[in-house]
Amino acid sequence: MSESTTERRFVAEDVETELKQFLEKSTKTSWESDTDLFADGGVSSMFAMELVVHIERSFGLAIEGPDLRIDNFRTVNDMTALVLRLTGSDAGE
Amino acid sequence: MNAIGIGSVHCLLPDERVPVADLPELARLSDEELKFAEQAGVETVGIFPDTEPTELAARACRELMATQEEVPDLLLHIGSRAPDVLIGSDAGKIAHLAGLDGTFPFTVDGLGCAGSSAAWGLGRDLLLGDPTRKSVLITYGSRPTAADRVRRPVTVIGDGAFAMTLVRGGRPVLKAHRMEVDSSFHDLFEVDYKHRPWSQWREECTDNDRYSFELAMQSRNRLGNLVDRVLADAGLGQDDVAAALMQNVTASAYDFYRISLGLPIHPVCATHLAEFGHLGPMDVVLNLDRLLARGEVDPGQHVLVLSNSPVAAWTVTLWEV
Repeated sequence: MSESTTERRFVAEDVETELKQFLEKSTKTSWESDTDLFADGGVSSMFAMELVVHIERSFGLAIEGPDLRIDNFRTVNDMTALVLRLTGSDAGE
Repeated sequence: MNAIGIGSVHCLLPDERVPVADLPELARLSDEELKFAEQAGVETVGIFPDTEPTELAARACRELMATQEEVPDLLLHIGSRAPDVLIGSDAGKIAHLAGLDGTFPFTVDGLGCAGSSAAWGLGRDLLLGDPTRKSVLITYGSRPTAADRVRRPVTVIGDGAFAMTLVRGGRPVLKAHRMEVDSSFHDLFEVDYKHRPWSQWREECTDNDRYSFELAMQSRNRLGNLVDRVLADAGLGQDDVAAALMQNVTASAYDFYRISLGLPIHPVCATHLAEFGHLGPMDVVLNLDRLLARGEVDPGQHVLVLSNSPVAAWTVTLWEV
């Protein structure tokens, strides 16, 4: 099971900004929030691992089991939703 | 009771090796498949023409047994992804061709490249379970399942076979072994064999994203956990591992596991990948045998062997040299 290793809470805008900076640095390309990273089938396992490791380290997460579905990582929006859910940041006040 | 370890190993490899760039199938591959073939890290593949995996395995067994006095109690055949015969017995065929009268043959199947490691664990347990048994013979023959050797996005297949025994008091000693599967990946790869002649068989990855993302990420987590548990079983840590080996699928896979597990994969693996291509479950046996033959690992040191497969089986085995 995935788990959060931090008590920190995040807001969607900050998560999106952080993820876009990582993607731009890694791929030398700007990404819209709803662009499918995997649409052309060109994403390597190595890049996928770097992406997951980056999210885990940046947001204090251990992502495991069913949460490692590719649909949780297709777009910046999908990854943001995953981070907010796993850190409990989507639970409201 | 003596610990279970390796009695002897014999790896059968062809003298004839063909550059991947000269494989006849390249003329009809797609651009993506060609690019994969060029970048997989395989320079040549060994080819045994006009033979079957069972015949190769039987030859490996026969040549190994010619050097042994004991007749093995059990023959543990690691099944090819497609059997030579339906209804019949490939394990029985190997035992018959190898002249293994009095040896009970059966097949371990459905685990892909993880088959050898699973057979090690099973063979050890079968020896521990019956004190009258003295030896388990394990064998496998590698030939392409479908018509092509290039298996994008996995690897390029070469030919070969091995035979090895597990015995009481053998070395290296099998110190610890664990394995896991995620059976939801059971149909990630398939060959439609019922509706096509063999010449038209094509291995198909039913979901490339699932292979390159979900299986890769699961492998990172599963193998990482298994490594920790196997080392804990033996009362050791990663610093106690003299060498780590894995199967030979692509050059990039070694980097993936080196980074994700923090374990450098010994370069003997990449050498074999380049020379022979992927040999299925034989890879880890060849890598371990050749590593030990190089004399780089001293008695008492430990070698960790990792395996995973496209059917989502993961194994980790610790050997004490």
